Amino acid sequence: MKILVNNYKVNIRTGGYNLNKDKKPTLLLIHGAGMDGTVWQMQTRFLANKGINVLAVDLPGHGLSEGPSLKSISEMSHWVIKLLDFLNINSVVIAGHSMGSLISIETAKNYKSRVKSIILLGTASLMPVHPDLIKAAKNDLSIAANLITDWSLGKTQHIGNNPSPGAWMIGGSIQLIMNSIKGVLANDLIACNEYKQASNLAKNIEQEVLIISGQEDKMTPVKKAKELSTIFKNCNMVVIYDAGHMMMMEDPTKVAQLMYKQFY
Amino acid sequence: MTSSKFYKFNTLSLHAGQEPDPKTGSRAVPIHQTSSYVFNDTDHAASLYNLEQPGYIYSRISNPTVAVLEERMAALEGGVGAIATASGMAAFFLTIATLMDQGSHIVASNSIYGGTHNILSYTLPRFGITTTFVDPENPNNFKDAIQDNTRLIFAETIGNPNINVLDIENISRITKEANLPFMVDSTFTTPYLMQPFKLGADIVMHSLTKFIAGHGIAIGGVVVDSGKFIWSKTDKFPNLTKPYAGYDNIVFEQEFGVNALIMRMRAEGMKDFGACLSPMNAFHILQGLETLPVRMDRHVENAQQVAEYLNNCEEIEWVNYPSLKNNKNYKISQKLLPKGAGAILSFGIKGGKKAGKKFIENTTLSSHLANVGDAKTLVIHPASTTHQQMSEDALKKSGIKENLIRISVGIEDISDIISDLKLAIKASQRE
Repeated sequence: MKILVNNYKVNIRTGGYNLNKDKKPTLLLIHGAGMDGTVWQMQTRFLANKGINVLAVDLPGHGLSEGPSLKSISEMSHWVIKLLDFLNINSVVIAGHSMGSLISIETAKNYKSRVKSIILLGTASLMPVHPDLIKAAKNDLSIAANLITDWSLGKTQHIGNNPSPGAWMIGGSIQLIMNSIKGVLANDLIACNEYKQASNLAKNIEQEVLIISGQEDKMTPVKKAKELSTIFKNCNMVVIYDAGHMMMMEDPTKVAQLMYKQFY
Repeated sequence: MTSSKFYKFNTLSLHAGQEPDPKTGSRAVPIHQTSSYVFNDTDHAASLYNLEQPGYIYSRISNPTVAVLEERMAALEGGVGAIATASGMAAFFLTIATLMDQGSHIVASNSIYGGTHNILSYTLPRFGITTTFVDPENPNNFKDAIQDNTRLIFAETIGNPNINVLDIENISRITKEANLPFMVDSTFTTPYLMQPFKLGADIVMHSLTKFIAGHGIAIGGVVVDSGKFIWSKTDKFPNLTKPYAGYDNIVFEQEFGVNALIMRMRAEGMKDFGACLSPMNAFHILQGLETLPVRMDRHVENAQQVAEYLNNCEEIEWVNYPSLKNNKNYKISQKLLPKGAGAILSFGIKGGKKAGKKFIENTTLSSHLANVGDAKTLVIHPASTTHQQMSEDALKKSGIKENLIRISVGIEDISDIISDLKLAIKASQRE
């Protein structure tokens, strides 16, 4: 579906169902830097068909959403609340991947009454980005897309054996970033690089937290995810073997099932 | 800064898409000779049908052996995904039927395989899909033929049988400006010699039967999508940008992003049209694909020597091979095909059609048959075989001369190939 937020069209995948806020719990899925809501394509329909209002959103300037991309994690979090206001959703579970996990943490802390729990995938309290990668994102998107894909996918997906028949994950990941609007990836990487609040906020987050980490994740290694998990008051962590940073694509059914367990 | 460390071409041609089978340790790709797959439970069945999770339902739609081939081809082309089909023609039709509707128009090169020319000229118009053919030598010819209802530009990387090298870079500038997808048939070049996505193409198709399988034992085709074309930037592709009633009103681009075309082709095209590749053929094609790089090096090396030999023969009127310095496509072939301009060349023997026929009848090692890209050397006379359905006018417009002989140079010892040609040429000149 498409709605207007701040006068710009926002693209949201609902897994083939209309919103039913009164009878179903809601899950908001937030993608990572330079990507869009299609990264959740193997969770959206699965969860929607099991009785969850799924909102796999494209952040402003990403995917099929209009508008300029937002400059900081804080701005992105405010935008998320605006989106929920517009949809008149008062209680939500937020799942965020990478940059999306930082947005989830920020929103969970600042809007305790609205955010029931959070699911963090490919997360860490700090996400420092090498200046050369930011430079590449600004000047040569192809280099940045290749590096991010190389570091994001685990060993298995460097050879292939994609769970989706006929799909080549390396190509898909590179092209997803290549199709992003000029400057969007760089903005997102800068926002991740500059965000230092996760640890502080995590200490005061009362809600239930699930961290899903990929054993072969080079972007946000298991070690860093574990460190963050110990800061939350109420956190479970699951490590997926044979997956890297893009675990929702690398082991889509496992991730979908873990998400489902947060509801029922 | 460090650079990305992906596996390279030779490695991918052997490994992409497959790890040793976790249950048996089988190193070779197992042949999943099965029509269907047992569901875990009713929920699992429902979720597979609803495209909620990946997996296999029925081998017409997808099959694990075929999927290895598809993924490997996508890896070698640098695409997002691929669909293997029963033949190259099935791959072409699958793409057309997915992107087109009644009233759609295609701009196609006139230097293409006779079968493709036939479907565009005679079959598709019956369904309201028309084509304008253009001479591919001048990229602006494609631009001039674009109409309001044009939805696709199509050409072959090396034209069949004229062996003209397509100026993909300049044509892709035109297609991008017109916001139209650009599909190329890369059968003659294979991803080893050219990766059309890097040059600006959006969709690549192959007849896998040829160099990729490489041994003349299995028919197959494939479509690979680059994921580069943004379908919603135009209103010409409702099959990807509007709800599809046949599948729970899915909007393929919204749901699957860069995989939209492949997903629609699988969910609709493979399901409805049914031109699937058998797992056994996929296995045979994979065996060929494993050695593609080494075979292509030998094919190209032999083709160059054959071209040079023919070029120096008094009995030969003309030789068309882009890697020859006197060829009109020499410059562009050096740029786009630095590893060589493939292994198919054409030539005309003095004495016209009669001499051409005699040549064909007097080859011994080279086989007279309707195929290219076999490890063995093949010869044919297109005007009387592969392109015989084309009218005299169409043949003329496509530059197919009566005395044109097409040779697909194999990987035999070069001295044996040349000896065979020498004897056949000599015989062709006898009264």
